[in-house]
Amino acid sequence: MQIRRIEIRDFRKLSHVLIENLEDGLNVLVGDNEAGKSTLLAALRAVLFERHRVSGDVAARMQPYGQSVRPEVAIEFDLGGKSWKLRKAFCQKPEAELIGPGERATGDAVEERLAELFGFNPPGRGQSKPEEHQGIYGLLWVEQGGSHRSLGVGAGRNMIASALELEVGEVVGGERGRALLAAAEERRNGFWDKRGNPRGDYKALRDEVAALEARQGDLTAQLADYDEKIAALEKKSEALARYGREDHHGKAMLSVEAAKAAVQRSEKLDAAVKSAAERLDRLRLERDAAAERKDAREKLAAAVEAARKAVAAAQSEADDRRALLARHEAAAAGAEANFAEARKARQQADDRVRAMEQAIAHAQAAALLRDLDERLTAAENAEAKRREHTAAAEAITIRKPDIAALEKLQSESDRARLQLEAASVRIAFEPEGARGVSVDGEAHDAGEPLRLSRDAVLELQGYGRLRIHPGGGVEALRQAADAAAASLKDRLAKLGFADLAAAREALARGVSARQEADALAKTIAALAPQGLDVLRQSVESQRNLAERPLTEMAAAITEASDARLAELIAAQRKALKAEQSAETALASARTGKEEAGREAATLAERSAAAQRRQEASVQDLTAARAQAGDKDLLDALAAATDAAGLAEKQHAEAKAALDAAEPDAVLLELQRAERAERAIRTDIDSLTRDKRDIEIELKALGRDGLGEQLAEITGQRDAAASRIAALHAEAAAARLLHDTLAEAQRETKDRWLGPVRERVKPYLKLIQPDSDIVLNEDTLEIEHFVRKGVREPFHSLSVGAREQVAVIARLALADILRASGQPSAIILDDALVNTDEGRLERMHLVLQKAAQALQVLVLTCRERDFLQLGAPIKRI
Amino acid sequence: MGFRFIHTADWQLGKPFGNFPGDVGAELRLQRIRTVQRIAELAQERAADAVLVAGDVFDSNEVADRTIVRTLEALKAFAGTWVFLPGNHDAALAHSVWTRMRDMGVPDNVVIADEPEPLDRWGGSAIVLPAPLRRRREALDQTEWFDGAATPDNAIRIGLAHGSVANRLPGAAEASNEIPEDRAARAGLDYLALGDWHGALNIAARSWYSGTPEPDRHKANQSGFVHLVEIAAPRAPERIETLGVGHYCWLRREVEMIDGTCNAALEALAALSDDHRRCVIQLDLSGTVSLAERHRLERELTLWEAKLHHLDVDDRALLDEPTSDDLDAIDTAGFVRLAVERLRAKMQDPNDPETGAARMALRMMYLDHVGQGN
Repeated sequence: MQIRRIEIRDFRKLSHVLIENLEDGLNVLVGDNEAGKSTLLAALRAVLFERHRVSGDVAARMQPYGQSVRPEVAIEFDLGGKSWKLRKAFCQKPEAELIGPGERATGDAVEERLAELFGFNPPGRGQSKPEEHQGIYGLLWVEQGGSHRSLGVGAGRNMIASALELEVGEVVGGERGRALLAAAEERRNGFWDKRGNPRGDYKALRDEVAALEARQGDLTAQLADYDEKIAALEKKSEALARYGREDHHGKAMLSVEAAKAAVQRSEKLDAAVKSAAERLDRLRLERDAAAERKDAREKLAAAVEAARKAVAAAQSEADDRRALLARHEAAAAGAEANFAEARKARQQADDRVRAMEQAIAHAQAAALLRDLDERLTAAENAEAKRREHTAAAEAITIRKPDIAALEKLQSESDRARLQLEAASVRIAFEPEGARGVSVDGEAHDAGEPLRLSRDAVLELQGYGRLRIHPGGGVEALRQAADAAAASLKDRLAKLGFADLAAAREALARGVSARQEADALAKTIAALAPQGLDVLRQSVESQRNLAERPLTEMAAAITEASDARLAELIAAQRKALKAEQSAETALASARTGKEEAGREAATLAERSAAAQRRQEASVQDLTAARAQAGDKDLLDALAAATDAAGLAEKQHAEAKAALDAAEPDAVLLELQRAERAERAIRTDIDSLTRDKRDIEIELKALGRDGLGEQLAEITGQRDAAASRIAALHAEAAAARLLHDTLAEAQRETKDRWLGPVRERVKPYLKLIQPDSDIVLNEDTLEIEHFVRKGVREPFHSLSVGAREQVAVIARLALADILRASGQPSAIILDDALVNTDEGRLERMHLVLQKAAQALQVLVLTCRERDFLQLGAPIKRI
Repeated sequence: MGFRFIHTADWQLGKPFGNFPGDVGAELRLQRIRTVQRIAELAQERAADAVLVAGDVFDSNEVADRTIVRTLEALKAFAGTWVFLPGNHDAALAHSVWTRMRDMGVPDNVVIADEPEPLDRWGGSAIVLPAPLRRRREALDQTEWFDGAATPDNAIRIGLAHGSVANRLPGAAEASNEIPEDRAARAGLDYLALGDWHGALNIAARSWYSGTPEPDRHKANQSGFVHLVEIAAPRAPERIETLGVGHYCWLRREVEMIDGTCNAALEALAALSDDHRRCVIQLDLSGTVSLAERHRLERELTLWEAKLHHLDVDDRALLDEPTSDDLDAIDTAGFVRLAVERLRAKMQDPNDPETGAARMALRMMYLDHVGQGN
């Protein structure tokens, strides 16, 4: 099919679109986003695949938004070289018309005719879905954004399959083949599990054979054991019977009896030997006793002699020791005297040193007392003076502020007087002659000017009275001067001074007396730092020290000095040394004396003991001889020796007789005979017991019918083995059948997809040489993309790669359809938006190559990308 | 005064028939005891003086106690003397089925002839000389003593032995426990009652095998009988009456199919004259059949299995020869046909290790195809 013209009215957002003169090969339809290019594809789908009478949601979706109009789509297309016109109106007054070569259909007939022409199955009702209802156009018309998904072969599969079969012939087995394969697989699965191990009945039977064989082996072993037991029973019975026949036990008993008699004989001889031996022993003992007695007598005599010698030796040695002791005693006495003398000399030296030390200490104490006394006297004097000065200072009460107040009063008084004087009338008298002058009745030296500050009456001699009345405030001044003078005077009187100078002088005296007292206090502190009382106590205690009485010897010393003391100490040391050496000598002499004393005592004791021993031995000897004389003892010894010799001879004879009877051999023979008898008896017992045991055991085993069981198991095993042999063959055949069928199916499928591979190859060469697209044999969906021999699942490719591979697969499938006489337009709605520029150029080559044989409509919003494609561009 | 007895042997009681599954085997086991009971009844009916059993009463010395007890019970119908000779299967070992039977208590009329001693149980009219086997395989001829065994002049001398008569038995009979062919003559026997050979057979002068009374294998010989023997007087000729007591017919049919159909096999089965329920059939098939015929044969055999007591088919030698029709029936095109061709090629290549498997696979595919109703 090639689409030539498309006209759309009132279909969703498209109010009117007309696209004409679509060519064979590549056509580019450009529309901006939202311009409705996807709607264009929806309209194409609607006119071809939706029933014109479709209602409900499907119809509603064809309406422009918010309107209720009559969507209408009309297309013109070529099919099988003939031109066709198709028009459908939806919703209101739905209408359909199809005009073809020599035919015209309207209404529902249009839908049937379309389904026939394009080989699709319209839906019973509702919306037509690309994958289910639109045949190959579900595959060849790609919606925007769907190009990288799986192909969506869906309902197109059968058309492609028949196209493929046209090329490669009928190679699939159809329903029958699938059923046979399923049956073969089921049978094989009945025998084998996934890992190729036997399962189910087959495995059960194998296990059963193994179990039966194990049981058979077990039973065989048991039976062998059983047979062995029977053989053993046979042997035991035979052995017992032999014992019975040949009477081994009876013979053994006789042999025991004979041996016992021989033993009794030998025992008698043995008793005789023993009694002879006893007699011999007794006589030998008697002979030995006589000999002992004789020896004892000789020993006693020898002891007496030895004791005598010992006494003599001990006495001589004791005498020597006594002399030595006397010498040691003398030496010890001398050492004693030396030591007493040395001690005395050392004690005298001690006394002398002590006296000298005392004398020196006494002199030092007297000197210290003197010094302390002097310091006390000086301190006490200073204290007396300090007290006087302090009293004087305390008597003067005036203080510096008093003086200041007085000075102020003085100056005020002086100033008032000067002011008065300045204002007063100065009257100088210049009497002629000696005329006197009196003032207010009092005479005044006329030579002296008079200052008058008050009303006064001068009597000038010679003149009369002159009443003077000073004016100008003299009176006030005069009163002020009087008041100031009175104040001063009053203050002085209070303080007890006549004038200011006297007050000042008193103050100076007080200060001086205080300074003097302070100086004296310091002197006292220097002399008696801890106070006068302490100093006084020190003087008192030192005095006590100094006045202690001296020993006579110390008192006698006239020249007490350290040098002298040193001499005395040296002498003292020398005396001490002499004393020590004398003491050592004394100790040594004493030790010597004591040792000599002890040895002398020991020897004396030894000598006494020897004496005692000698006396005792003499006593013993005397007593013994009183009992038996020396000769009696010798005679008795000779008689006993003879008797013993005789007994020895008799014993030897008895022994010879016993040896001749071979007692060991006789005994051994008895033991042997007894052992033999015992062994035979034990063997018979044990054989009897074993036989009984085996019989019991066999009885118990027999009940189970071992042989019957074994025969049965063997039969079962044989049967199972022949069954399993048949099953082996069946299992192998089942596997072979399935494998052969599956392999055959695989190979034919491979052949089947051959044309797809051939078609894909030239396109792939343009974008990715050395690659391949692998489709699923059944669904025809893309399974893998192979690049340089590496298989990658389609869904793990990048989006870009997926859309390229999917577009190529669609083109290849369209090629196959074309080859089967079904040229079909391909519509790609922005199918390569995820493809980079470089690849896009190569994909354009791919599209151009496809367009050599197919009509390809490219819907795009990217006009620029396609300007260089060399295809007619139409805008929506 | 003559002597009438039943000569039988090889009862093989306790034989388990383990290779016969389930009830089939159980029935076969049980029937052997029933047959013994039938013999007892016959002996009673025919007023026999004795029943002489010439060895292998039991299948082995190690049968279950239960088998011994049931055997003793089955004997009750005959009150005359039973003489049991230990054979190679039940030799008189130190411990044997016989010692066990004795321990259980043996009725007075039952004689266990486990010693080579003359038996005089019939008032001197007849003396039975037994040659018991006391090992499974005796190195020496146990019947030798018969020659020197003294019996009263007027007594009928009956030998009782178990083994193969030298140089006389057909085929590859086992050559152990050999009995000289002229033993009867040399020992002056009136009748030598033999056991071991399972078919009835007059092996030498006055020397007879009675065979087993109940067949136990597919061997084309006279089994399923006992001998009712009557000897009128010493040295008088023996009169033998062969009485059928066997229940099951053990039959082997060997069929070769040469015309591509399975008709021959089905005809062989249809020709069975005996009571089908009593038939234990071994069917050995050879030749070739088409797959369609194989399919038919298998359906038919299933029916026969139900009819017969037991049917064992050995078709290892029967080869499928798929015809073009067979193969076309499966499929003429597509991958199935490819698989068919490959299997056929394999099948026809005698050097291919899977040739047998391929043959069976084709049959399976055919059966699958048929099973699908195509």
